[in-house]
Amino acid sequence: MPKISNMEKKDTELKIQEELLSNQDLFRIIMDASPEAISLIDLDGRIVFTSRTSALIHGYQQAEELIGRKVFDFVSPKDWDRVKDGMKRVLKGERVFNEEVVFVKKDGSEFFVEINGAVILNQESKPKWLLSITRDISERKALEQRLREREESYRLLAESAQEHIYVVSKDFKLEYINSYGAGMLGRPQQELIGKQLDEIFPPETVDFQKANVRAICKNGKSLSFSEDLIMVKGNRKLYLDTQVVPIRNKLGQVVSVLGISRDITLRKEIEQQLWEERNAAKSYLDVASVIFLVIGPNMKVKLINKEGARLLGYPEHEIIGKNWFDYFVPKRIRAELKDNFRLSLANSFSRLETHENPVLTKSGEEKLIVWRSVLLENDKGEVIASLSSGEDVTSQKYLEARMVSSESKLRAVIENSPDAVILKSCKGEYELLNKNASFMIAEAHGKVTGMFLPDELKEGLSNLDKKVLKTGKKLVYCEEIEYGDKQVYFEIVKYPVLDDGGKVIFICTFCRDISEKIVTEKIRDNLIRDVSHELKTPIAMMQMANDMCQRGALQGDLARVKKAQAIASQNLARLRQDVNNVLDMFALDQNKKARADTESSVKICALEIKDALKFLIRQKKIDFTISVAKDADKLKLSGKDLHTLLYNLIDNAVKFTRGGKISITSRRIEDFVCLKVKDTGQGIPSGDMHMVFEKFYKRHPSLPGTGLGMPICKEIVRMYNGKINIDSDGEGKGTEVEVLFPVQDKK
Amino acid sequence: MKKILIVDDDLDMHFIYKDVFVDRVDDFSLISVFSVNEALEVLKNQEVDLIVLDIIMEPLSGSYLYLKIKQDKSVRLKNIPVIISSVLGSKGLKHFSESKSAVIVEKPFSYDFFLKKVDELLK
Repeated sequence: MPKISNMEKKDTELKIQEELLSNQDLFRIIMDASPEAISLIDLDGRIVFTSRTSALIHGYQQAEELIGRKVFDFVSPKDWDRVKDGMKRVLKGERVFNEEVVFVKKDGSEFFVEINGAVILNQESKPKWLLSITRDISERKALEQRLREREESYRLLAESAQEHIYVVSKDFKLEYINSYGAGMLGRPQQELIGKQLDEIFPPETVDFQKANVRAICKNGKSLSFSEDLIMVKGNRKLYLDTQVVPIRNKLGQVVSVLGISRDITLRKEIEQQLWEERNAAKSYLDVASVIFLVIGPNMKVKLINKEGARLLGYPEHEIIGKNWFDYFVPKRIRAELKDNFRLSLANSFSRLETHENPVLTKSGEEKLIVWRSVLLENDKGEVIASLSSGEDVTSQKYLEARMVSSESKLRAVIENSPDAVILKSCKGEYELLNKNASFMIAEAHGKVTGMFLPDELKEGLSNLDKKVLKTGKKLVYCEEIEYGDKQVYFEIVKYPVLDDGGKVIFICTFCRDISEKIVTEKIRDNLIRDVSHELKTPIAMMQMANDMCQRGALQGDLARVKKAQAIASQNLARLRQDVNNVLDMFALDQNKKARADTESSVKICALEIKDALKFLIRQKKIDFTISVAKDADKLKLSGKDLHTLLYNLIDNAVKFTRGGKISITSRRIEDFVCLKVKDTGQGIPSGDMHMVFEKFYKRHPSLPGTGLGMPICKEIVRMYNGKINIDSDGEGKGTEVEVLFPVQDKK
Repeated sequence: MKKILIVDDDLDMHFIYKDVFVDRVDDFSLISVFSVNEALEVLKNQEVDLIVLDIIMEPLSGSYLYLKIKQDKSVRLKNIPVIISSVLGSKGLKHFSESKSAVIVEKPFSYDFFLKKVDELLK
């Protein structure tokens, strides 16, 4: 159905009026066909005519049911006043257009209608009836209500949106702004709505906004853009991401512009920070004294920082894009490193790896770099690059190598030192133990704990350690430790190890077993003491005998003089023998061949010696026998050598025998002359047997003699190609010395 | 009369000591022994006023006897004065220290020097 404007409606009504007058039937038909309810009301307010539509909207079947009834029966009581008022105005000749009134249906339910009212005059131009044309607008009202609700929900939506939503009219008036937007601008919503943009925004942003509005109005297309918005309040800068869409009227003309702006200030700020950080990172990369290298999966350099370029000796752009391995890795390890790179790509070793590899510089020099590498992956897990940071350790390595070599030298010295070397911390913990120290400690633990171990080697601080700690000075001292029956001597030297500030940080202890040295020294001391005792004793005796002799002579005591002379001569003989022995030993030591082609008689020699020792032999009550076979008397020895040999052997026998027997025998055994000196004296303990031919060995220092007798005998026998054996059944069981000389008979 | 114990393994030395004291036979009586063991036996049974001690002897040395006396618990032994008589002298006997009750006399000694020491110790 074509739409009918108000003016057209009016014309139609007038026509109907005319028609009504002329042709009531026709009029009625038309009335009933009209979608609008048409009624005529008399001045008493009673319905005189009504169309079928009218009946239907009120819930009646026939129009006749309404005739004669009061209009107000069909009007909601709340609108009675308005209807009365309206009727009055109509009666005065005014027209009533589209008044909204609430009507009542037959069942009492209410509904909205729109009334157009007019007066119908009689022929005297006086009001006769009232014409009411009503239309049921319940449906429209419901729609309106729904629209309002919809609008409300949109408004609510707009209001609760966390975005800046606004509507700007064509002429730059802010028609709507949501509370979020108002809040963002820092002013109340009501204050902003209806204002010109110029009144709200600073000039620098207004022009941009106006230009946008103009552009949208002109071409009707949506716009998206980012804008920097400086707030009036607080002068805070906001960043907005804005979308602007045109709002059109029914004719499709753009009347206003809807803008939705998202506040991206935070994001912008973060971006700004990121940018700054990226810049900082980039400048760090360039300033860093570390090499940064990014290699793509194709092995080509994607990035290298200034330090890296400096180290390699190329400008950055000459490096980037080149195959890293082909250009910057020494040839000898190129293939290997390439394989490693491929392998790590294939296995996606994204963990941090440290490796040490050389690089090849432009000058062909190699630099050793410690690399730390990590693989960079995209979000799909694909390796996009390998990032490495590297540090040039060439000089460091060189120094390290030197240090290691010097350290290993020192370590070797310390390890192989005959001393036990121990480094202790200030708390007394072991910092270093060399081989000997470890051995001694292990040894000590294996034996009775701590017995063999000087305190200085034990863990913890000894008193001396504490002293070194306190004074910071070197200490030297000797420690004597009993180890079973043995005395063990240690020479201990302690050094403080100082830090730069002169504070003691370690104590270094050198511990040397000097037992052997001490024993040797003791032996030497004893030797000197024994020899000097041996030489001094006869001299002292002779001197005192001399005193005694003088006193005896002065007092005319002949017995005393004789006694003194006996002591003197005995000691003189002893001294002579000692001196001879010492001199013989010197002579034999110098390997002088004292050989003579003369023959000497054993018997004569033995008798001479017996005579020389007769005082002792008698004093000691020794039964002394000499028995020499005829064919074993002559020996091809010089008289002096034979005498020395025999004297020493017989002298020894006399020395160790008291009240026993000494026998000298010489007899032929095959091609040898066998000379035996046998006594029944003290004998030799089996443990000392090996010592008897040692120079200066004496059974006891108090015994007369230099301890050179037997070594001299051995030397003489050796000179004449003979053999000497000594035998004893043990202490107290006598001694037998047997000497064998080869004989070459002159046949 | 003072009793002097002479400990020396050399027979000739005993002759010489006897000669040293020959003019003072009224003041001193001599007990002559040849070893440390014999000396210990004497000390067990007799009161002695002075010991003249040789050092280098066997099987037990004079040093042993000296320490035995000086470390003895009884005041009687500890206080006996000792003349250490040795050819080694004080240089050779570094481990002995002279005291009021112990002197070292080096052989050979003059009769007068020796008697002077004896008198000093018995004062």
